[in-house]
Order: sequence, then structure tokens, then C-alpha cells
Amino acid sequence: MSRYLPAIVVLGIVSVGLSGCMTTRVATIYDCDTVVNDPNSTKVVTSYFWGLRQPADIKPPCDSRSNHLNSVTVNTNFGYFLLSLVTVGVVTKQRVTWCCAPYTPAVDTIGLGPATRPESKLSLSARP
Amino acid sequence: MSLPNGIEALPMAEWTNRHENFTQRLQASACFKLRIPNLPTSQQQYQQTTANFQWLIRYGIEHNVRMRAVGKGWSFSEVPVTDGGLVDTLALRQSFALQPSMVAPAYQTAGRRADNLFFTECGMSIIGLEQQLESRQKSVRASGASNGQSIAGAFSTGTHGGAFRFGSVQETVVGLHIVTGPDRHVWLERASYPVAAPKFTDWLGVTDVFRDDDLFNAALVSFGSFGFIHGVLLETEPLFLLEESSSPRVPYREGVKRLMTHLDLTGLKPWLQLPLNDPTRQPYHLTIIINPHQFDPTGADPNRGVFVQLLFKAPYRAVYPRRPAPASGFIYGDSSLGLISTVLDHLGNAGVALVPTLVNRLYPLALERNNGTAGTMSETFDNTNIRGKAASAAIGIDNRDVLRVLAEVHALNQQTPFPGVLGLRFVKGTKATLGFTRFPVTAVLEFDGVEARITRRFLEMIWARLEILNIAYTLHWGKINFNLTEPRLRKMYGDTAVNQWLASRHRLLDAPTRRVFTNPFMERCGLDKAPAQVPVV
Repeated sequence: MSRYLPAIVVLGIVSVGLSGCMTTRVATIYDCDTVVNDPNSTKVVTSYFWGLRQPADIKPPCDSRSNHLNSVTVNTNFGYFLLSLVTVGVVTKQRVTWCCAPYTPAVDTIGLGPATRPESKLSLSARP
Repeated sequence: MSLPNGIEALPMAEWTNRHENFTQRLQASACFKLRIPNLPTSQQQYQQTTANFQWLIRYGIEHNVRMRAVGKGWSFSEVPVTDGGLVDTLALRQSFALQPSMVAPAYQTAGRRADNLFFTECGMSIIGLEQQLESRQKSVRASGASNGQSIAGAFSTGTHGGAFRFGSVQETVVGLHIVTGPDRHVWLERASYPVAAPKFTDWLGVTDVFRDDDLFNAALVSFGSFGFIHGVLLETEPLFLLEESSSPRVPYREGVKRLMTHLDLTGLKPWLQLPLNDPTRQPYHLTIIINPHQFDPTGADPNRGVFVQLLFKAPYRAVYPRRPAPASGFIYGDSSLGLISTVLDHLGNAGVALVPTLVNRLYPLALERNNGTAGTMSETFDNTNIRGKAASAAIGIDNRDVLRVLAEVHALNQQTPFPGVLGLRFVKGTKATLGFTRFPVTAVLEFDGVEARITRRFLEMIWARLEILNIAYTLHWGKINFNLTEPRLRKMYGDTAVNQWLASRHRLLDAPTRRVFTNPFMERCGLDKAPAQVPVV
């Protein structure tokens, strides 16, 4: 066992260190409307049989008032690479992360119209 | 659970910051995202969002969970997170100009212009702010050295930049709209610098207006612990350009030393083309970068000098030599720093021996070669080029102490090589009570490098050495500061300032609300406590 130890240690270092070994990012503006590393903005997708069976298109739930993306990142790590290698490409995994463009309304001007104090507290309306 | 218009559930069991140096466990059911509500007018949208913040505070009190608004997640420390729920405010990006009728007469009679005021929601990014302002021929007055932060996150943690005649991001803020309880939201501004007219605070619908220097200065750098900051009133100025003069190798001799300790630019003439006698160009931003492994503190070896960058503020013009676009081709990967970190941690002394070579190879990536170019704020301080797992610590020191501190850092680097580079920026002292740029001119000494055990060991040695030498220093709130404790904090800022900050928090938040906005970082620093005497409102 001991003679394999260095190799195991090196493999361990490499596999841990290369946990995101290849990343491709498409970005327009480096600005997102969600917090970084939001698990709700990432998905692991799987393709089978050399792409003959592929995941359905991802529809990110961006704010419908802008409904645009600012970036998409595709990440393949060492484990995914190993999985593809072992299965000879039958199973291929990728991690896809997206970043919605923030909905930014036009700058308004306070004071153009009559300023009035709200007469009563706002009620909390139910989410549509 | 039925949620109000503008609030969405955002289940997260844990969250990792942008630079991947910590992961925070969370209560998934207590995480929410705020959006601009679907309502007909911008005022209704804004006021509904205020009500949504109040709903969240009520939720926190009723369910006994801590909450905190998180910004862009750039902080290396746990100051902006909580062990309860995170509130993502990054979609809150309403912004407003103010008509003169909305602005205090005293502000305008002092010769200041209402059209330089800009009111924006907390989630607005610095880049978004710059885009909106520059299209209106205005500029932000200060930013960090990049523009990816949210405005509230940036000033709440003391983001500093290098404006040595102006100050940090918080110096651009002249008014705050903060939601401080389930039935309370307040307007804060300085008594010595009145800005808002009653019509404006009526438009917000606030329950209280505070014109109080102490309260305002305490709230400026409060890392989300004074309630939810909803709106920020910023003072801007007419659009300007920053013209760059820089040199990658300036010998560490008298010229550079006087630059650092006295902000005297004249000694740089042999190395940089400086418009020192041009009244239309004013020095604005100063950066010095040092590779500790190629640094000759005697100045004898000109090839082991420092990188100096000076940015001069000039009136905007349409035609100017622009900064080059980033080169295409390869760049180090998102996992590269993490890999180096893992290798260093596992190789022990062998890894330590590799550090100087490693840093010398990577050091050129830290230098931008834009001498002779110009740009607006958004073009000059754009997105950060750091990818993946990184470490960054920064201390604030009096700029007159820089030479002593650099000598100590150089000596310690001979014993324990630091896997990174040093950056120095110079910032005018802040008015914020707990702003870490608290010296008249604060030299911010940054340690940027690989997140590894050796890095932390090196930082601990630096901090300990400064304390042995009794050199006063502060720690950047948003960077690595794991040694920060209550005694150390009180030594850095003094009991008066800390108590005044605590008293301000008690004035604004009642006990149940304070519990919602207290996090483990504050408990470690004693910032959750009551001041000795809390003034009665």
C-alpha cells in the first residue's frame, strides 16, 4: 500500500485542486441581478450517448421586465472528465451557471410632479 | 407562505463568497430575494420595497432568525453574512434625480447644485451607477479599484480606492434611507451638511428624520447591522477623465519615499511624465505595487523597485487616448489559484521554497500598462481580474508610518515568503466612525495572494509585529481579518468611537430588531453589545 501512497496523494491533490478544471465564460457586462454563487442559478446537466440524448434548454427565471442574461459559465471538472472517460462518452456532465441582467428602470426625477405624503400605510399585497 | 409583491423565496442552505475563501451555513427558509415590485409608479414601487424590508424584519423577529442583506459577495471576511438568512437585494435598482424643490435650501445657497445629487437603491452596482451617471455627464466621486460591488455593500465595508485628496466610497454618501424596524424607517443625514428638503422625506414616507452627525457617521460603515439600507443619496460631480501616468520600475529611493510619506509628487519627475503645473489636472488616485520578492529596500538596485501609478483628474473631452481592451488569448483559470493553494498546503517546506519563483512569474499579471491613456471612472476601475480562490488582507496605517512598515514586511518576507504581492493606496481620512481609513491620510497596505496556510501565517506575523512595535493600524472590514477581537477593535478605534457607534445602533434599532441584524462576526468583535450609556431618544 505504502508504495502507492505518493501517487494517491498526488491524485488527491490534483482531483481536489482541479475541481473546476475547465471553465468557459461568456459575459457581456460583469453585473448580475443575483448574488454570486447562488445555487438557484446553477444546474448540472447530463448528456447521454455522445449527445444523442441531451438536456432540454434551460430557461433561466430572469426578471420578465428585462429577461436577458449577462453571462453564462460552463464548467467541467475532473470528476466529470473521469466519468466521460470511464463511460467512453456515454455519460457526459457539465455544470451550467447563468447570470441574469438586472432590470434597471430609467432614472426618474423626484419632484417633477406634486409631492404628496401617503395618507395611510401601504398594505402588503399578495404576490401575483 | 404567501409573499408580498416584490419578495421571492431564495432557498440556500449555504453560501460561498466570490473569492471562495469561506462558506457560510444558512437557514434556507430564511433566505429571500427582493425585486422591484410590479406597481404603476416609481414611488409606489419604492415604497412597496420599503414595506417589503419591514415585512422581512417582522419575519425575522417572529421566527427568531437573523437576517442580513448581502451585496455582491466580494468581502473576504464574514462581516456581511449571518448564520440565519441572506437577503439578496441586487435587483433593487431604482434611481432618481432630484428637483431643487426636493433639496434643502441650505445645500443650494452654499453654492451646491441639486443636479449633482443622485438617489439610488441599495442593490445598484457601481458599474450600473457609473453607466447611469456617465450618460448624464456625471461621475461618481470615488469607487474601489474595480466596479463590481453594490453601492451599499461598498460603502458599508469601507471600500476605499485611492483618492488621496477625497476619501473612500462612504465620503460620496450624503443621505441614507434605512429600514430600522417592522414599523419604522428613517432618513439620516448630517446636521452639518443638510441635504434633503421635507418634500423629499415625505416622498419616501419615512417615520423619522435624523439630522445628526454622530448617527450618520456611525451608520455609514456599519456592514448591514443598522437595518436594511434601502436608499442612498450620493453627491456626484460633472463627468471627468482620469489620465494615467505610471512606471513599472521606480527605484525605492527618496522620490518614492517622499511620495508615500508626504504625498510629494515632485521626486517622481525622472520616472513619470506628470502634469504638475497644469491647473486643469489635479492628482486624484495613487497606487504603488510591490513584489516583495523583487524589492530592494535600499534602492540600490533600480530593477528591484516599485510600480507607481498616478491618475490625474481632468475635464471630460470626447477624444482621448483610451485604455486598451483586454488582450485576447489565455488567462489563468478559475481554478488556478485554488490549485496553487492546495499544492502549497500539501507540500509544506517544499511549497514554501517555490513561493518566490511563483510570485515572480505571476507578478506581471498584477500590473496594468496604461501609461498615457485616459478614461472615465467606469473605464478606469472596471471589473476585477481576480478569478477563483484568492486571499486579500489590508491594513490601514498612517501614511507617515509606511517606510517603517515596509521595512518590517520585507524582513518578515525573508523568513516566511508571502505568496502574493503588496499594494499601497493612499486615501484621505474618513468621517465614518468605524471607517478603517481613519488616519488623516491612510495608507492602505494590501496583501493580495493565494489563499493558503502560509498566507495566514504571514499575515499573523505582520499583525503581531505591528503590535509589538506599537504601530497603530486598522483592518479592512471586508478583507481577511480573522484576528479581529473586541480588545483589538477598541485599541484600533478607541473606546469613544466604539461606544458612540454602539449608542447610535441602539438609538436606531430596538432590541428585537438588533437581534435580527446581529451576526457572529459582530459578536466576535463585541459590536453586539450595549454601550456604557445609551442616550434616550
